[in-house]
Amino acid sequence: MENFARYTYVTMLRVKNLTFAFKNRPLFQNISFDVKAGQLTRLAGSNGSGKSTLLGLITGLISGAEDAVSYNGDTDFREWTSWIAPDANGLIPTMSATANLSFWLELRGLSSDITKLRETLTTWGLTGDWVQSSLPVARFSTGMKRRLALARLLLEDTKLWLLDEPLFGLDDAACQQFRDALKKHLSQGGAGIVVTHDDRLLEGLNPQTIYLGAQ
Amino acid sequence: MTSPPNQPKSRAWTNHVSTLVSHSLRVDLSSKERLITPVFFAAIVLLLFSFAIPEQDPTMRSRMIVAQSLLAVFFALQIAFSRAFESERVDRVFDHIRLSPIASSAFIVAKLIHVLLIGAGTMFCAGVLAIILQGQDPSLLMDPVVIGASILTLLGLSGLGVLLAAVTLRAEGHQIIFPLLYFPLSVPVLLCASESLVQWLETHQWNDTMRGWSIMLIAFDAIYLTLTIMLGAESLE
Repeated sequence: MENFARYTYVTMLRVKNLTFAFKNRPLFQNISFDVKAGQLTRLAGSNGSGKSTLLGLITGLISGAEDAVSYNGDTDFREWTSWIAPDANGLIPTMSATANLSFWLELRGLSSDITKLRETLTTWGLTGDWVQSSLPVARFSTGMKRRLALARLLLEDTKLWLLDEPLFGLDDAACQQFRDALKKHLSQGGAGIVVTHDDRLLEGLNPQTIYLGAQ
Repeated sequence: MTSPPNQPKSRAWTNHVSTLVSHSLRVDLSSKERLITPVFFAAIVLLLFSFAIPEQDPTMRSRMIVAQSLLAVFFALQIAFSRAFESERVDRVFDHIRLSPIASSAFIVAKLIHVLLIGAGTMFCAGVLAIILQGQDPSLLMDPVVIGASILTLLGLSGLGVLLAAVTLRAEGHQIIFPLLYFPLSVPVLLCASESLVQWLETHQWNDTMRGWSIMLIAFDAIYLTLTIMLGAESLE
């Protein structure tokens, strides 16, 4: 944590002249921007303008932008990025919340200390042994699943968050909690790219905005 | 914001495989249906065979037990293989795995180990039932040659099964495409396995014919396992 200050304003991700067409229909052309440490970038535009597609291109889940997207650093960018999908949470439905968190953290080589997992789940309103360690995630409500996905995001403790509609299904209290977490993440030298139609997330965060679908 | 602990790449790769295998087994145990279905299916096939072919020429017994056991296991494993990536299909789990810092070869090897474990359990249960239904000597299950041939058969079928499951992962009609590819491509493995096992059960001698079929079986195992690790991992990128 003490080293974050020296990362501030270092470019983490560069998108340069990114052009993408879907079935011969141009979706966006010559998109360029940098994502710097301590900075939030918002992808804005109407429905169907290509915001989620752009995020998919940045993550590499959609191919076609390999030459236009570059991550700063000599390590595998997946080690220091986390992703929240718009329509899913990446949770194994038959397993409990703690089992899900343990699995994803172990894949990143991180500690899955049960006390820490339980504390994090509790801060996200997922309280009690039954909810945390017995109830399969398939039985969670939409909002509870999203809270669990956001708890994982915080535990992964990565530098760059790629967030596609992160507030989906959350109540006001959870929205506020995530905004505070995002603010703290940015203040500590982290960065984020966010796709959202919910302005509550962006209050006081002063993001750079990339408009899509304007041409 | 912390970095993952520094560890040698080979160690990290092994840890990823181990995490993925234990995760897959935990998913199986959390919904036991995935473990029971292949065994149950093999048992039904064996029962059907025992009713359909009630009386056998004693000289044909070896051939019958090999044929029935291999076919029962073959069909049962087809179910297990076609579902190898089922738990990753839901809730974009597979996309999250792709965005986790793990090598696709670790993922495919973990899947291979997982289906080998499921396959070994299914094969053992089918073997026990086949011996009971056929009235064979239970010591067959402890015969090192039978065990060796069964392991080689399982390796070949599992390699092919995981490869096809990976290649058809994103295919819309994978339920149809998988068996269409699996059935013809598994013929060499089944042929080599059945011929070598029959030779052994009939003669109990390590003769040239058996050696030839066994070498062929090992060769097909090597081909399918190599293809699985190279092509399967590539297809997941």
